[in-house]
Amino acid sequence: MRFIHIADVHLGAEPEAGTAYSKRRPDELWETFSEVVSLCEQEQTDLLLIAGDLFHRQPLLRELKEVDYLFSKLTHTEVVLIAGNHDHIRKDSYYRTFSWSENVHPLFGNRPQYLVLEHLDTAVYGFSYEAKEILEPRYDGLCAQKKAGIEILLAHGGDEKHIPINGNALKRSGFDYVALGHIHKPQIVVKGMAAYAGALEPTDKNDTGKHGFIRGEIRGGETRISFVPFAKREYLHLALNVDKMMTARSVMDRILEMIKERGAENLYKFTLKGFRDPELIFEREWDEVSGNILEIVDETVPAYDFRKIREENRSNLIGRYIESFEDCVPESIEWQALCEGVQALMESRGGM
Amino acid sequence: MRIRELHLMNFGKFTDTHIYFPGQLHVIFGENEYGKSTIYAFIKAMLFGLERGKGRAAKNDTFSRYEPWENPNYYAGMMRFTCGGRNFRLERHFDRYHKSAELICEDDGEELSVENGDLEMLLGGIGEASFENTAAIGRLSAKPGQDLAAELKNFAANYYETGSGEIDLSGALERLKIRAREVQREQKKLQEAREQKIRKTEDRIGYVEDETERLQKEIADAREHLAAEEEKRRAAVYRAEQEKNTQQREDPRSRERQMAEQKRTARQRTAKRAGSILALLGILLLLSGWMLHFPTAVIGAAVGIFAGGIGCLLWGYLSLGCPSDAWERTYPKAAEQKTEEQKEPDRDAADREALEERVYKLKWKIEQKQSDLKEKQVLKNNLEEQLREEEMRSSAEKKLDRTLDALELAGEHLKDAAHGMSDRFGEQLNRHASEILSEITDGKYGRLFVEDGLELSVYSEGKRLPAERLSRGTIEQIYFSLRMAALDLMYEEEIPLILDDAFSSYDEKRLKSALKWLSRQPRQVIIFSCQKREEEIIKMF
Repeated sequence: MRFIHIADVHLGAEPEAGTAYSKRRPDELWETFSEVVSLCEQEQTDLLLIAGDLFHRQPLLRELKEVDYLFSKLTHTEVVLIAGNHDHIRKDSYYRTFSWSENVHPLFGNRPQYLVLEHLDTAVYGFSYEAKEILEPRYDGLCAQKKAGIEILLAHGGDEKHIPINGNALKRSGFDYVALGHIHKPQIVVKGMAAYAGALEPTDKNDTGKHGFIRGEIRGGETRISFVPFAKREYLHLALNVDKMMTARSVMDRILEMIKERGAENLYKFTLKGFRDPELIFEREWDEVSGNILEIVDETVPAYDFRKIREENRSNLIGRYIESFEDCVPESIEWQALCEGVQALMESRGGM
Repeated sequence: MRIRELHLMNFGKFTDTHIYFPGQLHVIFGENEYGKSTIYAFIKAMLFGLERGKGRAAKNDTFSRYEPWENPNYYAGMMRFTCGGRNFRLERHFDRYHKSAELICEDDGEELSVENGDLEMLLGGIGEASFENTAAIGRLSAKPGQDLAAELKNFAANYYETGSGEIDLSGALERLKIRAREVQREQKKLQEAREQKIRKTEDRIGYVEDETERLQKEIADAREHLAAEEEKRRAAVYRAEQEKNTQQREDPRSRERQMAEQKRTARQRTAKRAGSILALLGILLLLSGWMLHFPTAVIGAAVGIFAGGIGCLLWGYLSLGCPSDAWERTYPKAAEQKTEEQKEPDRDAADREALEERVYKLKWKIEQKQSDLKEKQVLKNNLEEQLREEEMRSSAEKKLDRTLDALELAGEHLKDAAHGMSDRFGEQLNRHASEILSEITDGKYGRLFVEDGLELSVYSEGKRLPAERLSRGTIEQIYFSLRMAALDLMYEEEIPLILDDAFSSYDEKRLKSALKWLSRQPRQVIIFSCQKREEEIIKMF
């Protein structure tokens, strides 16, 4: 039995994608989703598992029709899906009334339920969110009921407010595979048995790293899975070390170079680190430099050697000021205050 | 540190000029335009180097100001000095082509490296700005629009709070404020961008609400319409029933039905009757045969019973095998034949049918609109959820909050440190400056007070005098005392003190006292003056 496991597609979301790509980004989520469905057809995948948050918010009827249209074209693949916290089954949700194509099997109940696909000798277990949050660890007590040769759990959650998940409990649950959703970073929870497919496309600027889906096969009681990068774009958080010889323009050039290296299609956040020339000022708006820069965080410290400055100014205000921040931890608010204050003092120096 | 010789090889207006400093106290006398400031610039250039400025600023920076008038590519000088009991020779070339610095210990010939900070070490870590602000002292000059007393108070206050003549506390606090304003501006920009998004979402919600309202109104209208049509239909149905009832008596169709009914019952009755008669006949024959002639009677009776049986069976078939509706199924045909007679009621039926269709269509329309309405409501809910998310401040905005907090914290620490400074350093400075002042003024002003970092006053003959009431000369003497005291407190390495026209407002007596005090200092003192007084007084020592 060969399957593809996707999660957190977030159709309808409008992810931040810089001035260059923000406009077309919502469509790209649909495109990639449609491409995964086409891939299922092409590979004659037996089962497509969707582990929640197919939609970013409540699905509109026309959106459900579009999704079902894509599913209806599958000649071989069975589709099983649950609703996650984002597209949870509200009282007035179209999920409750929509009639799906024959090959689509929603597990939309709020209590554990299962479905047996006789021709695949496979049972899929799961339930859906009826609210935005579920605090109880509701997957911990669940175990496979031996309804078919292959048993799969479709689950969504794994943080404090969305069904905390205990990897050890999953290990003992007796499922052949647990297809997880909710955490956007693809990761294995129990080796060869439980994994997050991660968001199909990254939908938040903090969804860094590769995104895609999990392709798997269960045969003879053995599950093999592999992650397949599939997303069109990637969020990259890069650090750039600035030294005191660098000018604003040279920093900008370095950034453009890094973007070129990693691909113009990706979305960037740069953190400038190190010691900059105290006189250096970045004046340009970064999105004007390149439309795929989302943010530049300036964590540089003016190239002051606090120990040396303190030594030189033992007897005056600067020394005393530095002393007053003794033992402060880099990156803390005190550290920031230290840098700002010393810079102000240094810049006003010789003002008399 | 003591400077022994300056050799201005080619610097400003000077070419191959030697100046020697044999004693601890040295006066360089020169009228205006003599080149005193050039010599001062030369000392600084020798100690700290002289870099050519970049860009526009280069036009009138120190480098170009003292570029030699003749042969500018030979821009150089030499200085001999003593430091820590050792003698050094420092030679520098400032011009672009020969730029170099050479420091040699003349006692043992050891070559030191200016580049690696050996000179800096000899100077005890003092930088050019510090040197200018502490060791080089000119006259106290007031800023335009400010009197000298206020200037002195500013200077003293800053000195007390910063422990340095070069640190500007209020300037630093002002810079922090400017930074905070910049950060707030940035934050506002982010907020405005967010608000613009919010407005866009609100507009979308407004649009969906308008749509919702329109749909609701259309549904209400359609419902009203539907109610009217249904009323019409009810009325039509009622009328039709009424008509049916009145027609039933003369309706050819019902008459036909009645006739058929009668026929059928008659037929059934006939069959039943025939069967019973035949059976009865058979029994009669049987009885008469048994009484008269046995064999013929038996045959006759058998025939009779058989016939009776057939008759009964026939009746049974007719009554079981032909259900009543089978008959009715043929009815529409009969009705067809009589279309001409039915013109009136037929038009009614067509009307009713049209009415029926209108009702159906209305219902369908309402259903469609309701489904549209639901879609809009889901969309509206989604947009409202999005709005709530957009109303939350972004991480970038929160980060700037943190920067603002840091700036505030920096300000607090700076003020606290300044406070602690004036408590500790201020007290020392006060004491030492008071001693110097007392000596220069021959004990007339015994004690200096700086209070709250603002009010400056002196104690004189049991009275306390605010700075505003002192003469210019006295104010300058207080300034001098403060600077001397600060220099003593701050730098261990005794760097040379350079006084540039510092005594022009002093009377003879106080100048003498000041020079006397200076001559007793361990550090080298170089006085630039355009008056002969200093030179003459020193000769008398």
